[in-house]
Amino acid sequence: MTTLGADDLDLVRRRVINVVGHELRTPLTTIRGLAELMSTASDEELRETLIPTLVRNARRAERLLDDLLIAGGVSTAHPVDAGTELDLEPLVAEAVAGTAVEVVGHPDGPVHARREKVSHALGHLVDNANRYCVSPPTLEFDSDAETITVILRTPVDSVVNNLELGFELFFRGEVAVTTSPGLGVGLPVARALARLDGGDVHIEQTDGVVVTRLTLPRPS
Amino acid sequence: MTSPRDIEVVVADDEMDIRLLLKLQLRQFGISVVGEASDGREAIDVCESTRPHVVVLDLLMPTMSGFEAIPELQERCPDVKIIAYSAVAGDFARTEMERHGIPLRLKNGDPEPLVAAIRELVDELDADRIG
Repeated sequence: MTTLGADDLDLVRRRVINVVGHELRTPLTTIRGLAELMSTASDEELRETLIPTLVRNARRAERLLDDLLIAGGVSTAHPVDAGTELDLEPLVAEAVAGTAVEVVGHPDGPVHARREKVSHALGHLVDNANRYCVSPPTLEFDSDAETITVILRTPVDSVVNNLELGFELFFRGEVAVTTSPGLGVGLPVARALARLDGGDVHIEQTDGVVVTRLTLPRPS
Repeated sequence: MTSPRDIEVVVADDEMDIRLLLKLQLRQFGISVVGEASDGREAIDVCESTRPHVVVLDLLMPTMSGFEAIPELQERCPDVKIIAYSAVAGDFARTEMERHGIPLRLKNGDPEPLVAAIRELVDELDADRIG
């Protein structure tokens, strides 16, 4: 196992702080700017148009905070509510809205999980698929007696090296680093969230397609 | 001299909500957004077709970043002034923008520093034309 030196740790620390700054500033800029515009806007229609954007950016900032708490493994990130019976279909529809992901089929029954956590995990997995695909990814469902699985198939243009390293906190692959900003916590946070509900996330690649599986338990 | 109402800008940012915000904010100051782009490549194409006074250019974008777009923008659209508009502005961004002679403004929701920079650049354009 490689041990990181003080310089390496300092580099990681600065990179994480920079990326957090970038990722937080975008929603905060939007929230502040739109809120100030709304406070003076006399056009009611404009105000109503801006409210969903405001809410979306507040949620984005909130999710980043959740990501950091989960990534840090601190106990405040753990849910206080219990899981419930949950239909995955509307959560999937919400997660893929505005992306290139095509949904195929329907889940074979509900799961037992926490709505916010599943929504958050799906958001990360769909975001990864949408960022790194070379043609539209597909999302389908599979099931067995105990679980329902959401399967995302993402066509990529070359073999992804060190795919499993994607589960390491703050790791970003070569393609990720060169194509889009990000914190490098999507996969580990999605897995941590799924595991809170007794589920899991797995990833593999075959023939130019990265396959990500989010498995969640059925209600007992 | 160009009046505030005549100022035309292109906004290049990969975040759709930031583009919306800038369009609304700049409109309040009588500045028109005549084109939008979500990466550096699009920014060059849109500037070539719309020939704005100024392009407000995000530095970190996918496909082609603002850093990468600047030399090509300066070559293909020499009459279009550039403002770098970034969520983070570390030493590298500051040094690079200084080297290119491009003003750098931080995204923070306050439109006034950006508007002031746009007006300064348009005044420079006017001065160049008169000179």
